[in-house]
Amino acid sequence: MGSGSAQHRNHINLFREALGQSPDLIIREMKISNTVPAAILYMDGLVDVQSLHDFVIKPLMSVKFKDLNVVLPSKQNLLELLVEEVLGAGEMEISGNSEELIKHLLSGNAILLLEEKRDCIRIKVAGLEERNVTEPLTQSVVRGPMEAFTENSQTNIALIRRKIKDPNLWLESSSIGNVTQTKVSILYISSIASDKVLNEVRARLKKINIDGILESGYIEEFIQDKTYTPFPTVYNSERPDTIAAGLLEGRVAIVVDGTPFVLLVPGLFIHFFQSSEDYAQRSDISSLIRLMRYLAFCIALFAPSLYIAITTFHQEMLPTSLLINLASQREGVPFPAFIEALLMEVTYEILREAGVRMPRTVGQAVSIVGTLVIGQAAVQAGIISAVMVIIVSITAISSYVMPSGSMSISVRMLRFIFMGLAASFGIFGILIGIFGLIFHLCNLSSFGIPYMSPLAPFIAQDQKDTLFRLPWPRLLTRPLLVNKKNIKRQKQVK
Amino acid sequence: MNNGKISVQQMAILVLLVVIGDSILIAPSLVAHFAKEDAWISGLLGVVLGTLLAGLIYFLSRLHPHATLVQFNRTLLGKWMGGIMSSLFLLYFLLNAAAMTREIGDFITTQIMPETPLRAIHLLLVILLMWALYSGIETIARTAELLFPWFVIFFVVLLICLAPKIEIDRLLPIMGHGFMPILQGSIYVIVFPYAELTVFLMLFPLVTRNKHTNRDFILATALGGIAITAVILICILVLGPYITAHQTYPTYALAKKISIGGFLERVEAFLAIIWIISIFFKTILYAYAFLTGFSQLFHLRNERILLMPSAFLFFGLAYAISPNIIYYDYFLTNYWPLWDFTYALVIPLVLMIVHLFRRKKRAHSV
Repeated sequence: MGSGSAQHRNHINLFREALGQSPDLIIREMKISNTVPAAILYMDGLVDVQSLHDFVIKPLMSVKFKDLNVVLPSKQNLLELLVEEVLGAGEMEISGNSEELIKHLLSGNAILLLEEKRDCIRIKVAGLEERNVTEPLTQSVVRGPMEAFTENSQTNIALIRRKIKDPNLWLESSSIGNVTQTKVSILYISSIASDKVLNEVRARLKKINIDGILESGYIEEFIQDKTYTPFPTVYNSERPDTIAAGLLEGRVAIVVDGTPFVLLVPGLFIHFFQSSEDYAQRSDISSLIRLMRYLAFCIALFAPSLYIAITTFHQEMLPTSLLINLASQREGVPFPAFIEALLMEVTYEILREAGVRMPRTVGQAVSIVGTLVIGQAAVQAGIISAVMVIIVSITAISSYVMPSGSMSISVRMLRFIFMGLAASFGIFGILIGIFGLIFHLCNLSSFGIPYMSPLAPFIAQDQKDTLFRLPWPRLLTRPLLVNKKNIKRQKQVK
Repeated sequence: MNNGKISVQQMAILVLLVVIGDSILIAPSLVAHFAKEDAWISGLLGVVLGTLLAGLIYFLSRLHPHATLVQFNRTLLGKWMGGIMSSLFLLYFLLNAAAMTREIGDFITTQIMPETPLRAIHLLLVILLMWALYSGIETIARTAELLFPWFVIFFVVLLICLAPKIEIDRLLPIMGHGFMPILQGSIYVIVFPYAELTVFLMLFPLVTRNKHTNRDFILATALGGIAITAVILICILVLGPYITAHQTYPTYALAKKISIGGFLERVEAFLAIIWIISIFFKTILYAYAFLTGFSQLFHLRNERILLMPSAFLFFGLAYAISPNIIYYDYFLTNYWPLWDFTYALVIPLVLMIVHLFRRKKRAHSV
């Protein structure tokens, strides 16, 4: 081992032992200006070696104290001198807190130790292998920006800042997770965002005390208003434009390092039916498509249960010829409609789950089996009726119309409850189920804001962008309930 | 069940739902029984007189705007007399809630699902009732707000789809039986929709008032009455007075008549959503009034402990209140109006006189 006093060795060993003699802790020892022994510590793979070399190692190696104005710097200000005149990197700090330093070491900092100094310099030279900004995989659009967030929260914040160039776009960062030390940032436009929601977000984030945060879903479950509900009360998106639009409405974004899914609160029921494309397309077609989404929501939720109710209890509702057709199809089917529907819905859910998890290469095999088994063989074998196949298909397709995946998950779960109610009480059962569901929805809130607003409580002014979207020149104000501070979106043109 | 606030708009919707309540289903037959072809005139007369009654109830609540009926009774009549009076009202709320649960149950078991046991329907309803009460009055009001557009849409669909079946001749002769039957018929338009607004004496203090509160209340009561009159009128126009009078649920019989293009037929099970919404909300408000009234009478800190016991009470009482539907109808026609008038007209008048008397006495003593 190189030169240096025993004290210097101990100092280096302190770091080495804290990391359990891990071989990926690289220790580069050197002598600054041939006189002061020093060591640079960094984690292999967490730093960008090129910039470490160019801006840290090279200047340190080539510096001669006699070139600087001071002849031989006094021991106290050597660190300051290095920071001020020698090192070329951007973010650095002098610190003596070894726990803090180890945290920084593990998040991509290099640490410079000097002999006879307790304090060290940490230099941010993080450089991680990361994914490029690509097209969004979950919320794709025909017209609109084609970029999505990545796993790096800095990149994500930059993507949002590129859309909102306003000094009032403020950021508050903290690290959550005792072990993972994940960086979680709150992002909001201070001149618009509601202070009530903001304080609530801060308070709820502060309460989290867990060993690790690996995805924004962890945060979501901690900060939602009600834990036991099938409905999402926190919005998530991997689209920077969606998040930017939310910020402009006065909502608060939560960016979690390590995931492309950024959270947006408050997340109300109607938000899960809005797509960023609604605002890019013309208002007439966007309004119609939005209405269609609500229709699809109802189909996905009620189609199987209505089929069960009508075929079991209310046959009189069907036109006679259709009823005869149906009856002849169901003649050979051994199960009651409820069991038939349950069988098919569960089969579909299994196929769907398999489709998501399995390796791409076997995907085709499963889809062929699925199509043949469900589409034809099951009908021919007389296990189910052909109408049931149609019902299951329309249900499955409708549940993917929702622009946000979180809402289709709720629908998939609730569908089975409604099927049970329909099987035992017919349309009356479905009606009671709807009442119960609406009571639950109206009881929910997201960060203190009623979940069903602006439908219940009804706010006439916000109807312009709820079920319909009026043309942009008519969208004069921001949503009223989320936002009371800065209502005006545009100056009215006379 | 925290004491939430409800907006004037939500109050108006709840008032409208309570006014329409079970009357939409049973009033046509009761009114047509007496007034025959002139049932619609009874309806109009009922709206006028009923709105006056609603005004009286509203006026009573304005004497002590921040007190519910139970608190009002206590300040006015003292601890013991007030307590007895409040208990009477609680009994009224309880019986009304149970009777209306029974009404839905009877309707479902006689018309839609004859093979389902009555108690199974009651169980489902009581579970839903508790679910609603557990969520609190704010949630109840919001739910009413969310369901109201559907209520209106289905109601308008019902009226419009029946337009082709209307025969104006069925209204003739106008006033052929004199005025007395019309007056007799109008009692049923006053009593079930308007007298049962008494439940709002427990709710008015929760309303966040604005300058339209008085107007909106009266408007909602009048509109509700007009909706009932419209149903009575269309029953007479489509079914004729004889069938209307002899059906238990003439509105349901109306919905069966709908036929559009030969494929949309027999949609009555869907249209039943109209009265199930209105009756159910009336039931909820009565159950809410019972629970809050009870907890205010006995100064309970947490109303939620009452949920489970009252669920059993509602479930049992809904079944026990009448041995069968014939008995229930007989009771409803002959005795229930008197029971309702006692609580909506007689007792409020007594309370008002006591209030005036006390104020005068206080004015003298000062």
